[in-house]
Amino acid sequence: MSTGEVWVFSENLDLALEMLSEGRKLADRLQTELSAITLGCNIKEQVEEIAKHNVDKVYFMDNPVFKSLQTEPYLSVFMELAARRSPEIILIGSTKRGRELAARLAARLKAGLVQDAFKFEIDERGMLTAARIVYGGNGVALITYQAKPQIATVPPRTFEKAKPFGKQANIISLDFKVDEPKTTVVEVRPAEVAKVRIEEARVVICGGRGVTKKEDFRMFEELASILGGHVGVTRPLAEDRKWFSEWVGLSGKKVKPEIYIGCGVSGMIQHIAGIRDSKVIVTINKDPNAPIFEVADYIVVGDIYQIIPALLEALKSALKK
Amino acid sequence: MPRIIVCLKYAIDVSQIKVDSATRKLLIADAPRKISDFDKNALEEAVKIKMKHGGEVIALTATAENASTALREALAMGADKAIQIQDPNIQNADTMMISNILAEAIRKIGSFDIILCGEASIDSYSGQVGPRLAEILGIPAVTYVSKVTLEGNTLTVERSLEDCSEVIMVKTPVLLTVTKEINVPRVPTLMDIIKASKKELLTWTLADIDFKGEKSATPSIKVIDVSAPKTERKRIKISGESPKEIAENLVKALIQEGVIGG
Amino acid sequence: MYDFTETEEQKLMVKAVKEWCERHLTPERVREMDDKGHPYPKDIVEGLASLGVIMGTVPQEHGGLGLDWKTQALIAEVIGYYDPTVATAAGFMAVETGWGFTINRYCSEVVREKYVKPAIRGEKFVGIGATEPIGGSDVAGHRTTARKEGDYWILNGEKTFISGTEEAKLWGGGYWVNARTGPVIPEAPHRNITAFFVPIDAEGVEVIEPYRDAGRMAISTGGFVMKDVKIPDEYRLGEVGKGFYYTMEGFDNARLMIGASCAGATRRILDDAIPYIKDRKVFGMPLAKYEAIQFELAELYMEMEALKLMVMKTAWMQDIRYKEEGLPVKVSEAKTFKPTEIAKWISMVKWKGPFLALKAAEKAMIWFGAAGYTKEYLFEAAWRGVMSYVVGAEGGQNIQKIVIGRELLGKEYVPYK
Repeated sequence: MSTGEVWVFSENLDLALEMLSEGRKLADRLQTELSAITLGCNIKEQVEEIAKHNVDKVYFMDNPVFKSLQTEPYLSVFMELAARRSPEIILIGSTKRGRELAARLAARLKAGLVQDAFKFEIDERGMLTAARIVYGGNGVALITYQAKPQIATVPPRTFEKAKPFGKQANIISLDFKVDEPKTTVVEVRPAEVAKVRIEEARVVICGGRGVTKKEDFRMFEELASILGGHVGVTRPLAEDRKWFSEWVGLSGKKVKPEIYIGCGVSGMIQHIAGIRDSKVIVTINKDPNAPIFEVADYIVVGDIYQIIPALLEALKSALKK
Repeated sequence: MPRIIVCLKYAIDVSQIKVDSATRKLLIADAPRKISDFDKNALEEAVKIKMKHGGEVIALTATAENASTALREALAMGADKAIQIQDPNIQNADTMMISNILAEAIRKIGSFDIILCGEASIDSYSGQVGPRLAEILGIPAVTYVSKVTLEGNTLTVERSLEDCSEVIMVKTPVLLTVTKEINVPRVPTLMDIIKASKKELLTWTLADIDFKGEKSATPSIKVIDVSAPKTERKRIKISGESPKEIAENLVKALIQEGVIGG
Repeated sequence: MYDFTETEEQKLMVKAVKEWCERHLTPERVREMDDKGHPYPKDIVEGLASLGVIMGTVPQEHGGLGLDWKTQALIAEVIGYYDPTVATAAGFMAVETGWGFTINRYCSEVVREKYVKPAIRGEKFVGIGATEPIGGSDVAGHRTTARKEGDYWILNGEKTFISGTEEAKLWGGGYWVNARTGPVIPEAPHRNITAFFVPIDAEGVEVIEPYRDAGRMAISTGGFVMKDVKIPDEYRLGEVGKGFYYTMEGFDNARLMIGASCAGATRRILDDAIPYIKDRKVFGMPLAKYEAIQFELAELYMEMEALKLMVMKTAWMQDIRYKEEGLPVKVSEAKTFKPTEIAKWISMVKWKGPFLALKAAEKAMIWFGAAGYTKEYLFEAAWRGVMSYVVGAEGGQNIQKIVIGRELLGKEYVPYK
């Protein structure tokens, strides 16, 4: 019987909510409490939002020192809270900041850390086991912890977002002394505003060598727009035809969308390596021997110039309902 | 004139890994190794800083296997000195142990201004050692650095994050982890390779750095299994009498998958 | 007996050359170079030069790296691999490395400073001007003459089918030119020939328009006419009358590079072909599963490995020869291997390399079918390029067999001198 809590933290609210659903499962399995940690500036709304999502406690601290998102202040709060609460499991959202925070926290706590875990189990000893991708995508490692706390980072969109449920969490304000940052943030430049990077796109439409003219990408743009996605290309269209500057593939961008639709993409291994994490792979190619058919979920042997327009129509009517 | 220590991992060349088709086990022991890609970016950056500001670049690695050829390559790329902590126990070391070993080695080396690491290793991609090492040494860390400028004992770095890039100032001593955007690692010339054979390459044991392992008596984690991922793709053929029918069937399937609303 | 283990230095050098070529001699670049044709792109030659790949065997005190021929052969193999059209190998392994090294052995400090060292740095081009309108193989029968006038030599003659004349003209540089400096002795026509270094811009040298070659398009093949070209005596290479022997030595070095480069080109052709034949299905079965194709692949592979071993042994013999003779200047009898023994091995690799690479390119095209016949792949460019060595660049193929025959049977069986 464990007494330590399961903690969930991310500076990214969506990611925090995703981890809460898995955190709930783990906490229930261990018969312990699930707590969310929220640290930031002017976060009252965020705290209340999280508190609605089937979590037992929300620890929070609202302080301008957290605004710059530097690690030392966060680290000091975690250390202080960990000393008092001896958490069982700490789940941190795997953003670049999160990965750094987790590693530094693990060092201070002399704890084990599994980065980018996508699956969790509790074993007979009541210890956590986590799965993660290793060797450049060639392997899945199953890792178990030997001591507590057991820390893991979780990538975005690994788990479904928790749904609002149950009674409001117990909201606890923390009143710790917080470490000052050891670095100075001189400037913050936002990345291209509102532009989702293809690596994070939910839907990716890729054009391959089967596309004859650059102008034909208009229909892919339309398809992407309807589905809320991004258009990409395979390497030959970027490097050889020079239609675009970036491409999807092993040496280019790696995507992990919910839906990948390959249009006139033959499926060279380097491209496959860039799309293999896609949830659903759809492919349309008129060559019945295209290698991509081996790694697809839904296969259409057909001419993209006929299928895509038909698909656009079918989607428009389906999504209207 | 900064002294820069670059931590390199003698990592598995993931492009050369073979899989046992029967058991789906990865044949790791047979896979060749190389300097981890992002660590080369770190080394290149260190050499560039040295070329501009003078100083010394020391390449450091903790390894179970003899990594001297890889270290010789680091020397050819511009490191002045290379040190490997070689011990068979490192084979099963977790990131906590590796970080502690590197920390002890760095304490033995003495003073330093900057430690450079790659953002993560090419084979494990867990990005732990750099930040852990900074904590153990009690120095600040900045991760995912894509640009470095040194002036006196102050570094101005650019950090590229998902939603923004930050410009950060920090005083030495400091540890940075760098991304591959920071530079293009040089190909050593044949003359560099000839000169490298005269540079110092040391092999230390765990005893040499006084590492007793108390700081990490048991590894914090244990890898139970590593197998090739299952690729269960459905390979369902969507057919129909006309493009219209095919499209409708496809949409139905995707709605059923739950990936499009409807 | 033989230890084939690569030294750490060789491993790192081969790795560095491979990495450089991965970045700069990409298939797209090589295709572009072959499509565009000469002159050879300056950025590539400068890159190769900074890497240290050109004339690596020249001693360090003369601006080279003092590499042994074994290492240089490994490097030439990589160059042949990444540019299977052999344009790069032709210009910079065979001609500049093979002949440039030999020029350096016999040249004065003036020529070294003015031409050899800049060529090593990728700034100028040095080459071999052997072939004449009357033919290439009969070196002793060539008609170029040189007469002494005070401290100068006056050269007259014509050279044809010379590699790199456009590059030499554009960048600066010159050629090894043999000239008759004494009467023809009927029983020993190879005597009384002296070697000279002729700058391409010397007064009286007229460069001929390059030929429209079938292959190795990135490097030019042209010629030049010499009309009363005045060459200072310090541009003479080695001793008067010894030119023929030095030339045979030059051919040895260049031909070794050809053998090595062709082994690399063959390997490249196989590496490009293998993934395709594993993937491509006909009648429901991958091409690679058909015995006919597997058998051809196995044969090419065996021959390639045999060639590589021959190249290694030949390079090893060259290294012993040079070590015994003492660099940089001294023509004396080698103690372990006679020059003629080495020449036999050189002829073996020179004969085998181009024919093997040619056959590999041809087979690959046939396996690929119509696709292999297109410029999507480098096979056709490799075939056209390597053919230049089959038709006789750096030595006629049949001449190589005569050399081998001479060594096996004795001088009296040589059909013609």
